[in-house]
Amino acid sequence: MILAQTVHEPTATAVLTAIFGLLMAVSVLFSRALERLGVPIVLLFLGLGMAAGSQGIGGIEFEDYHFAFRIGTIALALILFDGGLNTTVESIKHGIAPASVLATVGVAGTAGLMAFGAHRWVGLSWQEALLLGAIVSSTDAATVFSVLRGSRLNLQRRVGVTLELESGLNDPLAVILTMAMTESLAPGGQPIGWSIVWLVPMQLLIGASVGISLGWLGVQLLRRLRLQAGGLYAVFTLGLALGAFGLATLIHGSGFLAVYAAAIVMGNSAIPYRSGLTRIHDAIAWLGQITMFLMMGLLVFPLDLVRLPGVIYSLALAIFLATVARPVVVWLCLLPFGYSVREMTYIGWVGLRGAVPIILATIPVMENVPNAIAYFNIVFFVVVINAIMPGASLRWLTRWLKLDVAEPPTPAAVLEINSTQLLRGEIHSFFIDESLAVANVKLAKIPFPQGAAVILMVRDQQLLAARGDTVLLPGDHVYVFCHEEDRPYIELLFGRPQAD
Amino acid sequence: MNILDILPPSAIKVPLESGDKKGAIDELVELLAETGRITQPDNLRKVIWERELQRTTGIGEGLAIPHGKSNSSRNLVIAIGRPAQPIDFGSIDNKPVKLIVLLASPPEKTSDHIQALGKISRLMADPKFRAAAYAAPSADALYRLFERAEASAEVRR
Repeated sequence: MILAQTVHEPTATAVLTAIFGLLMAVSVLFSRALERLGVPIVLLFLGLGMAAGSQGIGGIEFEDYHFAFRIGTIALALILFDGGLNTTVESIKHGIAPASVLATVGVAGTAGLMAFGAHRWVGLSWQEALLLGAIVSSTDAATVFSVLRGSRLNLQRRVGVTLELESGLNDPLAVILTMAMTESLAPGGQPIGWSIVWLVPMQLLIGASVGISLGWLGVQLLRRLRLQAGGLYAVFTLGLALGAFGLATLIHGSGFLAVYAAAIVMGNSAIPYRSGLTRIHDAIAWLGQITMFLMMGLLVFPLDLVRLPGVIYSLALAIFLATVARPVVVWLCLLPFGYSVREMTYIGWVGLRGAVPIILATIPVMENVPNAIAYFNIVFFVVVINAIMPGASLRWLTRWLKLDVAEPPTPAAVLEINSTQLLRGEIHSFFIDESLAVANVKLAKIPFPQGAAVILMVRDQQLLAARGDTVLLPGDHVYVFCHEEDRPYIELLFGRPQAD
Repeated sequence: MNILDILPPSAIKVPLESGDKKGAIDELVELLAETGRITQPDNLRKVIWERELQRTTGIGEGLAIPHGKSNSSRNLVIAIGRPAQPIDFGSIDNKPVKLIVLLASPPEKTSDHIQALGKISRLMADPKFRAAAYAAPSADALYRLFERAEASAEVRR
């Protein structure tokens, strides 16, 4: 970064922290407004980054692709870790088969179709076109999670699960393809060989194995660890996430898949300090998203983006991806799974792109592939269009295709209770609905195990003391204290704990 | 509460014919309907499935306690089934289910309903009882297990 080299310390650091601090804070302040519009919040960060950049009002010069790649990769790994922690085994069972096909055949198909478009209309060579196709071939976990969960849509389970799992699983193949194509185009590089046919499954297999093993190991250690400071638990899981990524990548596996798999294993196991951990990782994932998109915004040159004729090509390819390539591939992939026309239309349209293609686009730039900067700009367009179009139309489309579920979504917890020390026992919150055994029951009648109890309730805007004669009504939020070993029984009575 | 008051031998089926979660629940509801202990099996199936979607009742260690409130019966009813092979119930601990205890009560009998859930859970929390129940070769053997458990509970009282 130019700034850091020309100004003396500590001024340089102070300037950097001030700028990034303000950008981060402003991004968060604006997030609520954008959420209502359905525009992925992450695009706001991208826009702010561009505004702060060398051609914007901020005038910050930043052109370090290596640095951007490194930070982007770490951020994405941590976002995937958070996504994995929140992916339930049930949702995996529902969606793993179609999502896996989308994440492999779908990615390859999208890359192929995009390459066809780029070769035919932009006049790139097949190799160059395939590189471009590979870069934009995967949907983005950060964007999908934030759009689907942030918009508070109550999407039909199967559709939501398929989209989320796909986005978590499809980065590895896009990365592998991009690396291979870059290698074949870079000066002095090797042409792409048949080895890719077995290299891809190998990478996925190694990545999944490393992730599952480390996730399992992490669970065993967490259960035995007795740490004084609660914050250290998060340091441990953070370390595990980064370690899984690095280790898997070092032994030629997919690091992204490893991180995701490790998090799924941990998120679905009984671990201590769970609510604290998920909250911390949620914060880390947000920080990762903001940093990543701000930085990507700084990295592009907006004035170069809109230069003719590049802008026409970029726009055409972006729209081709959204309206032809993605839908066609999704239909072909999902037909064998008995999805309805409405479901396939929806999943085909919601091919949200995000930071992954932008990170991937830095790879050819770093490897000095000819014209790499031009691809970078095309990719940027493809991403922005394929985030805004599906994002902004999501609500409308969900209703039009009748894919929203009638009942209201489970409201998030309304009260947070944190402990400053690690305590044995945890507090879980539950939303009482009519189907639960405890609905319309007096608290005194509930057979609690020793050392478990409802401690507090929220009804409408009112905090209620948990007294024996209080009747639990549908719509209440209740806070239950219990020990880890009693949790299955508590869930039998109270249903699914609310998201932390 | 004595489980035997609401659990006639005819409400136990070993083994269940179905090999999946939905089939097993249907089979137990059907068993209750056939023995005349509930009416409107479709309604009961629906409420039990709604509860199942909220959160699996496969509470781990091979046990599932699907339950629901419906007007299908005038009192609390129970049906128990042991699948021929452990079946996938989407359980909390991901382990397949070896015994299914299905519970239903009318909406106004919430207290009985929840007491029975507690009772079954406590009974099944005993590893020895659990192992014996999972290994029960017949409906009769399973019934006798519950008989013995209630008898020894009576002695302790």
